[in-house]
Amino acid sequence: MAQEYKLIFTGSMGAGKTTAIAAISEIAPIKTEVANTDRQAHSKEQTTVAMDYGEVQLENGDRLRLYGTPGQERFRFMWDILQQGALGVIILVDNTQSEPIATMKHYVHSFKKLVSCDRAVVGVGRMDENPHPSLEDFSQALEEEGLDVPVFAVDIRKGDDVLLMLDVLMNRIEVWEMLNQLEAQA
Amino acid sequence: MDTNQISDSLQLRLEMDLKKLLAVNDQVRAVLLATTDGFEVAYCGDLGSSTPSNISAMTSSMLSLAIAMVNETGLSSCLNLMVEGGQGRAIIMSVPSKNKPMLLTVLTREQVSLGQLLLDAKITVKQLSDKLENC
Ligand SMILES: Nc1nc2c(ncn2[C@@H]2O[C@H](COP(=O)(O)OP(=O)(O)OP(=O)(O)O)[C@@H](O)[C@H]2O)c(=O)[nH]1
Ligand SMILES: [Mg+2]
Repeated sequence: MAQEYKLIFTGSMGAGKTTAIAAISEIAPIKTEVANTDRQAHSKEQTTVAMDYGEVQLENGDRLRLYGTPGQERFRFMWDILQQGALGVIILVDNTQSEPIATMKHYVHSFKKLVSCDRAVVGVGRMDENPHPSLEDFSQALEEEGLDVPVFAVDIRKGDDVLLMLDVLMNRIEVWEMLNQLEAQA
Repeated sequence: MDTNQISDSLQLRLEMDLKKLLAVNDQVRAVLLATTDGFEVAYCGDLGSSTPSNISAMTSSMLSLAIAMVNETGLSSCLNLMVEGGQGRAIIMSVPSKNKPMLLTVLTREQVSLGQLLLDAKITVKQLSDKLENC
């Protein structure tokens, strides 16, 4: 039977959460962007202050409800609200920003409940502009924390890149749910 | 926010408007001004156990959601939002300005005459708006 899943896109300011959801949503995405007054933090014109929302239907009929968080720390309370009832999280990183691995870890910890039960993927953007740290560096940092999270190089402006991450995430969620069912039966 | 964007003297004059509202209406518990993207600009009064930075971020989120809802349902533009709590209300009003749009949040006490409060708050919005427009 077709199901509905709630997924979260998170990551730092300008990592591309709003862009990624807009790239794949089949409905006109709901945005809550306003003028960005902190041009030191990021030069872009607008920033998300509450959430993004979009929807995608998969080939098997499952519907994905996609929620994007604000990236900036002062909206942290929204991270907690948005992750209620979520089944998976996509953590986006911009490799041209400073300390991308530390930044990734920050979001990993903030969404620990999902990450620690394999319901997460990491997408690293702009690796063409800045190839370091490498994908292996990201993977290793996650392994060192005892976490098993797939890491992808992505251009989040490209729908196919975003969908690939969702595909992998959904497969992992499915495996988890199957294992859970087996355990319940045993 | 890049604090250079608002001069000290402008900041003081904005704060004066907030203080005036607090003084003129004894139902008002606290008044806070924030940028639309949720940075604190000025406040006065009693914020309870919260902090100006938290309230600034929260009002920014809430008004943006109200605006999204209004756009979705064709209710035209959203200027104000009211939250009714057991111990008082929070009223969030947009302070229009071409360069520096902001949000005014008014926290009230439990008993409040809404008509007078909205009237007083609207006067404050206009005063703030004029100062932000001409800066
Ligand atoms: N040149 C280039 N631009 C990119 C790439 N990936 C993302 N971008 C741009 O980076 C910006 C990302 O901005 P947003 O989508 O607003 O970022 P966000 O994560 O929603 O940010 P906040 O809501 O402020 O937290 C957009 O302008 C994208 O077009 C890339 O690989 N190359
Ligand atoms: Mg955004």
